[in-house]
Amino acid sequence: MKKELKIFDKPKNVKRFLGFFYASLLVLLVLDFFIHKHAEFPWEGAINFFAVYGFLSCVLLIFIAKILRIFVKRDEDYYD
Amino acid sequence: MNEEKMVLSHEPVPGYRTIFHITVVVAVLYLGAIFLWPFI
Amino acid sequence: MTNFMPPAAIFIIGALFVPLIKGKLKSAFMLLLPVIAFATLVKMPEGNYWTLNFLDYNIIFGRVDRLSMVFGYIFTIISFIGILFALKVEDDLQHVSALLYAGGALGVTFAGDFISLYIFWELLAISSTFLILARRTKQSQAAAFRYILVHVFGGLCLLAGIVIYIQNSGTAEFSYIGLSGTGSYLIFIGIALNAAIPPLHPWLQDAYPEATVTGAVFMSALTTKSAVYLMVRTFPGTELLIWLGAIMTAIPIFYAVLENDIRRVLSYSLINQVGFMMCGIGIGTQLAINGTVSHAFCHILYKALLFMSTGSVLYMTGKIRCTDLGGLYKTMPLTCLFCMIGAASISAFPLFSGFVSKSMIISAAAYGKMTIIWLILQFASAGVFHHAGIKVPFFTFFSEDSGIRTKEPPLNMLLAMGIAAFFCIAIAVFPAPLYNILPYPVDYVPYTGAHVVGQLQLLMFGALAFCLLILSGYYPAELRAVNLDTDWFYRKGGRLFYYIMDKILNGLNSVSEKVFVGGLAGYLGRISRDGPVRAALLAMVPAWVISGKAGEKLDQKKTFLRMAIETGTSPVGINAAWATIFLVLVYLLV
Repeated sequence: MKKELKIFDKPKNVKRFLGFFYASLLVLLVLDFFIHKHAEFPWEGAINFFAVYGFLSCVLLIFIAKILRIFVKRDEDYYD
Repeated sequence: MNEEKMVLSHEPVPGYRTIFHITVVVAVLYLGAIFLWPFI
Repeated sequence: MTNFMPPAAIFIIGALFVPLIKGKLKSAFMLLLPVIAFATLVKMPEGNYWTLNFLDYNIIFGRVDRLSMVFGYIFTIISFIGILFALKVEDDLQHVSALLYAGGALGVTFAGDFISLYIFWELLAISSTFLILARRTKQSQAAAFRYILVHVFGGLCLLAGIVIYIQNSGTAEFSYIGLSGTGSYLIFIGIALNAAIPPLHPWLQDAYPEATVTGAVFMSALTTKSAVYLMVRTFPGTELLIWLGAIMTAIPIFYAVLENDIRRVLSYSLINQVGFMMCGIGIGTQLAINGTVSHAFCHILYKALLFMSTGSVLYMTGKIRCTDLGGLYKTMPLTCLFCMIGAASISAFPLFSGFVSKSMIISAAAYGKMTIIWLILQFASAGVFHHAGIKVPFFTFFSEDSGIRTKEPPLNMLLAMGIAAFFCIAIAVFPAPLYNILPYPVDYVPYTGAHVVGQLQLLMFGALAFCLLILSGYYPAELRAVNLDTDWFYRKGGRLFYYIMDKILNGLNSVSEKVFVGGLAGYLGRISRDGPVRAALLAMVPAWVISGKAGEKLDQKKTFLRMAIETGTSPVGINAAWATIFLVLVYLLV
């Protein structure tokens, strides 16, 4: 039996990964202050627009999907 | 082998709901400000 | 110049030899076919050739220009990767249909006229159906049946449109058509069905997850993208497509979030990605068309990579549902890595292929000042990362450990994934070779500071949303269920339709049986049975009376005649008389 990878079995590693992830988010937020922009739309040039838009898009996606599930969910053997 | 799962639900971790709500409120306010800026 | 075969013919003729060869030779032969086709492509100069005349129409098997060449290249590349991935499959049905399928896609790409196009179009539909059937399960048979019915309907729309088009224009050759008149709308619907534009899309998410592990790889690459090619060719700049495309990017991602079957999640994200292309075709500027074509090129590679890596999981574990999987990175680290490269590419991370192609389409929307479209496309970009970029790898390879212990798939599968993964990164790092083969000259720089940071923010904060939604328990549970889509109309609605039609038609049937079978038909039947006798008597009796026959002698003659006609044994004389009467009648009437 080959040796298994288990890096995410240790809670310490998961924490480290998440810490790295949150740090990179912070870097991106700060970086946006120093970027030269040539925006087509007024809001495109706003500081950290894409961060907020990306976050809210995904939240909206999930909540609309949850509402959609109420209407479209059927039993697994619905079509049989 | 494990039995086939019918549902894989995600239980809330204490404290994260508050963090989530705060983040959403902040994000909505900021995005609203960005979009409405030209009209103010 | 034209002493070589059309690339489509290489695949189609090659496919016929596959069942005759065995063992290693067969593997080598199958891998050689796309290589020969690619070598042929490289040597093909621009122009129209391999033409022949059929019923006064020009049949063109080789319409070669920059647009068809890009699709020709990618179809042969992906055929090579797909064949390599399927090399160990011991099922000639799959090999032959996959090769015919690839031949059909190349045929569509280089067809310069509607007649050959239609033949290759139908070849696509039929050969791909066998890739679903070859799974040999009850569900796959049912799905294949629905798949072919839908495509037959689409093919009929296309055919009707083609007939009207040829009728009006007098030629079977085509290029730009544009939406005007019934014929063009029918052609549009026929192509739109293959491109899976809502509401004509549900065949895709219905059939692809039921296809074989290796068949799905070919299917993800060929049908929709040959429709994209045809749409670029015939309907660029059609405003309707901008909106259809935007809707197409948004709607499927909601379903993808809810779906439990990983390959069905990928099918929905496939529709979403083709939505970007449709939008680009609708915008129709040079930048947008370049974006569409390059996005199709990249999309074929990373979508095939995603279908290969998840297919490997299905192949090794027999499971493909989110609820059954998890923790597979431990035993399939390479497959996991390839899946993540595909996921990063479809999400358009900088340095992964989606980034250098999708951004052209979105930029084209921005240059056109299409506010709402731009917002929808950005929303869909964040959404595609959410489900295809995070959900697919997360629930397959990470998440809760499902307890499944397996191993990496065979070497040929890993190699196929490796090649696709290599392309996904290479295209993003050195986009120049891809940009050089696009239909129009490219002066687009994907890697600007604003663009890289903006895209990274969009994606990483989308990931943050995923993270917080899971941890706060808002993320919808993965569960085994059916999610209704527009296929309801022909799966359930079809039954309702059948029921109503059954009642109405059977009612009509019984009424008409009484009227026609009992009444009218009986009458007509008696008439037609007795008719000849009556007519013969009518003709002969006066003659007999004149010649002095009467009484018993006349009755005897009548009985004899009746029997003779009913048994079909009338003497020659009577037949001659009949013929004469007939001729006289004709002479008098005309």
